[in-house]
Amino acid sequence: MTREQAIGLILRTGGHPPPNSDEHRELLKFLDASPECRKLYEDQRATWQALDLWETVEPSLGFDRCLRERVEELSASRTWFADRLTPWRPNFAVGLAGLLLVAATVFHQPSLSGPGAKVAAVSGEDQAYLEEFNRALDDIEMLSEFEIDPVALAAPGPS
Amino acid sequence: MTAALEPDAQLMLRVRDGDSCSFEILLTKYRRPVVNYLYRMVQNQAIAEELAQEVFLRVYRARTSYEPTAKFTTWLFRITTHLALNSLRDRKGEKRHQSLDAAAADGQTPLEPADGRRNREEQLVEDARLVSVRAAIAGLPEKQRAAVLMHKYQEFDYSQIAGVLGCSVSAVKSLLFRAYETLRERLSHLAEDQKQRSY
Repeated sequence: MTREQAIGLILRTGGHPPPNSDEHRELLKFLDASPECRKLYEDQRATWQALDLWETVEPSLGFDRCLRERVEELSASRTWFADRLTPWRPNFAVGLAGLLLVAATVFHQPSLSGPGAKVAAVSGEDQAYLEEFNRALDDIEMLSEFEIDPVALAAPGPS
Repeated sequence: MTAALEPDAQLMLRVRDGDSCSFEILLTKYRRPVVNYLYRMVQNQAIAEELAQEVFLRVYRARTSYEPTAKFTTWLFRITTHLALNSLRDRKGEKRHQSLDAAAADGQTPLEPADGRRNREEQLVEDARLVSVRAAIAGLPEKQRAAVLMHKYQEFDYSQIAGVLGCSVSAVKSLLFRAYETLRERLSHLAEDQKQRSY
């Protein structure tokens, strides 16, 4: 093990490589020959212990009750249509993204076919449009990733 | 096919099939880790609990489309981290961490006397040490903070953290390297104490 490898291992594990692992054994062997790295190792382990001062907290007493109520409200507000829509949601997101892409191409065709098109310089208006488009794609991606129900989000319900 | 799945993913599949008891089991198992992770991220217990409720609501909403493509905890903490990072961004400009008095007024248990036998001076020293730890973690950039909290307190491995943060394992190693290095520098006074105590 080199000095750089030892430092890297100490720092990225907070001085706690997996116990009984080969790299831990190699590190301990290396530390005997490098007082400087041993000090780093001990400092890092002491820092790790200091982090243990931050004990865990218990969720407050009303946490479960409040959550159960909200889940029940959510169950009650779900419609037959929303349940049926769920499996199609990823396709819906992809379809919407495709539609936006087509719309962007169609509506911006004239500006791209103009005399300045070959220069491929993006005007301020185009830039703003592209940013808006990218934001829309990000939103779709996030909705898709977290599988947020757009119907449930849109439906007026208890807050 | 479900026999090879981890137990939590099997529970979630049962939730998908309408078994509310399985959701209760997952809630009981994960509400404390989720609340504590969020508490350490946003440093306010009331906000952490509100966000934790939103996490479990999102899990419940997503049940019908749940597919066990990743470990359940990775999926759960991806939602949790996303909400925590959004909350931090929304609250940017507000006070990042609370003073000792403010935290005590907020009813945060670690700052309340934990042991009746301790005298006031010891308690104050302990509180000051805890405030240092909180401030050191609060001072980390958001992704480093998330990575170090998952590594140190949730005992996630690199690949799980990478799955949660949506980055590579080498990026996680780099985040942890920088985070632990910063924490060592900022908590050097506590580390010296710790070393003396352990000798």
